[in-house]
Amino acid sequence: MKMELVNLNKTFRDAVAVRDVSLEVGHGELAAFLGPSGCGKTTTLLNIAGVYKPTSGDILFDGVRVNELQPKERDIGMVFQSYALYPHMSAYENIVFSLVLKKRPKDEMQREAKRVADMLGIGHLLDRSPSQLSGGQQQRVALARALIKRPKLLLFDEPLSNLDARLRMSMREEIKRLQVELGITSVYVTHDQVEAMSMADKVAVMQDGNLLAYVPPGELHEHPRTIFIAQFIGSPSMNILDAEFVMKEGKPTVILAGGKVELEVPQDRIPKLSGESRAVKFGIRPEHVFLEPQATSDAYAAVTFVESMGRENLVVCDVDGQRLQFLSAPGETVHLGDHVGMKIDMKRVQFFDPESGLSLLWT
Amino acid sequence: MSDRVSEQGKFSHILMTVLGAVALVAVFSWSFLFMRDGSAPRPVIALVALLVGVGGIWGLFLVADRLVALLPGRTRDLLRPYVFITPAFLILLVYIIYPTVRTIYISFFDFQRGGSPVNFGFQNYLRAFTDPALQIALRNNALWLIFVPLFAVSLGLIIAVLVDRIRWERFAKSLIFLPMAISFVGASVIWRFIYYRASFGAQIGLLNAIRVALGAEPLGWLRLEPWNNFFLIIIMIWLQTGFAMVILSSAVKGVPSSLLEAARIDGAGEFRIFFQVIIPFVSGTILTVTTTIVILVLKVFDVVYVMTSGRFSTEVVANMMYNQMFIQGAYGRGAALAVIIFIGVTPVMIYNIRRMNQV
Repeated sequence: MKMELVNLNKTFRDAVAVRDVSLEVGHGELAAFLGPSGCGKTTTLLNIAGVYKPTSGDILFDGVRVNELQPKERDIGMVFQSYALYPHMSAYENIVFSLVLKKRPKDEMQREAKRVADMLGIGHLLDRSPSQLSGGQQQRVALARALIKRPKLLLFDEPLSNLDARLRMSMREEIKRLQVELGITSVYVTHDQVEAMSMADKVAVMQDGNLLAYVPPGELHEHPRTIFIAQFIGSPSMNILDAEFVMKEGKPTVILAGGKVELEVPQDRIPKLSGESRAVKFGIRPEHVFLEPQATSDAYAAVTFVESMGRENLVVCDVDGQRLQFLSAPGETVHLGDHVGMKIDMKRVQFFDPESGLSLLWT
Repeated sequence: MSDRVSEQGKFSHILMTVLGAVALVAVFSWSFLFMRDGSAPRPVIALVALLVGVGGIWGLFLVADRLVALLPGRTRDLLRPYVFITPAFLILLVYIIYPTVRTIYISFFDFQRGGSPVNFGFQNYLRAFTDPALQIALRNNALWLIFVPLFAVSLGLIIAVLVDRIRWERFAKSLIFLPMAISFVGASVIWRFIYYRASFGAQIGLLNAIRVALGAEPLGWLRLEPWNNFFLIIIMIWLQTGFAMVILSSAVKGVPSSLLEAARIDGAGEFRIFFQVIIPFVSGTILTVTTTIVILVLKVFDVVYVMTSGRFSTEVVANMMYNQMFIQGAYGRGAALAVIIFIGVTPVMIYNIRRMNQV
């Protein structure tokens, strides 16, 4: 099923929760809504589910407006962060509850329950009550409950947030595998950028109720449209430094650290500017900065913090009063207080407008 | 408080403790005689009772704790908790356990006011159960027992769920909770004016005023058997619905919103959600509220006493007991009725306490 949002707005009394969101999730696609808490992603999801009614704008399922339809009339399945299993019912009763409400025959219920339980590997747990199940098992039951209806649209509201890190990774794979196998159009709300990037066909980044971008994960990472996206996607997050862009002796040049550092900008990274020279925000990911002997280095700075990340170290430097962090390769030892030289991979730089925060490279 | 006593301070410690104990005994015996035999004005007696009551308990704790401090380490630590629970336990013993045992004891004797307990036997119980008045009282108690919890709890639950969805929830809840602030006697007086029938002049009772205004004859509501029982029961429902609503309301608020959303997406209507999601979720609270009201209703007295004094077939066991005991002075028979109530309440009480301990 194809799901579209057209200029969706949702306000609660005076507070705007969702502002003019338009997007389209194609048949069988998984779209992730990504953003910090309070950005409006869950509100948008509950509008799609029909729990909330939009203040204005339309929700279209396969081109048909469903604004007025009740949740049960929308052919959807939903998985919640808190699992939301009925505590007084067994796993089996939880799974078949929607079929009980539709007054389906017993044998059909049992057959369908077996189908989804086998899919999720919880066949042996059906007699247990939710309190006897672990978090991961409860979430599988919740997923089975959503799938038994053979929904045309699956909605996930931070389904893995309550699980521990290892389980989260295996459930992530499993949900993605099921979603692809069954070919169900899905909307997946999360605040975890790794989850969004690894699972989604397209990621919708939201902030303060606005949709900032709706693009495939790779593009989100490589071509960030705003400083917010650039810093929100990727871990550790992108360095943003004050800089000036000038044409120096005919060469496009960026001046950093109050004039101490001058770097030539490759042709395909020249910011779109109206004038010749201008103040810009210079962005570079930590993984695109490398240690370099001082003689050939681009910049030279004092180390203010070193954080071991296991395989590599996160090194934080002070470049003329601004924070620059990068990853030192395994084997390279850097100590607090050292002065180090750095090389910046100029083919990977980003430029942003200091006022609007919009990218000067991608539109 | 002194935790351990050094050798040199031991003598003065013992001296102070003994002096304190003597002083306490003196104060207690003086105040007892003063309050029993004294002819001082009532406010003075009340003041003395208050001071001796509060100060005396404090003194008791202090003296007992000092005594325990004299003991060697292990024994001291073992005994110290009992210093603090003993006074409360003594008060329970004197005011609850002793009267209970005494009541059970005299229920087996013929015992009239001014006389002494004679003729051990079951005669009071036999008489009670063959007395047609008790049959009516038991029937009425059963009516109270069924209808008050049923209506108070279901109305409380329905209101709790409904007010959860409106803007002026606090106002609505306060309004319904308000009767809880009125004593049973006060509430009964209010309702007397609702059911009142004037034998002459204007009908000032609310219901009869309405009847007359609509052109009907005034009714003697409280004499209308057997409906008058229900008119009394309504008062208790009015009083207890607020209690049930407040407790259930907090339980209903504890139902996670995602659970309701999941049910809506599964295709459950609002009635289904109420019966199959909300009620099972708050069933523990429903049970607690119900048993609490059941215990209250088993002991119902005030409302009946004020409204009808048990006349017109509205008698209940507690009111009967009061009549036998304090009006007619038939202590033995009154005690037997008290024991019957006691036996009725005990299982519910035990169940309730067990449940509370589980939580």
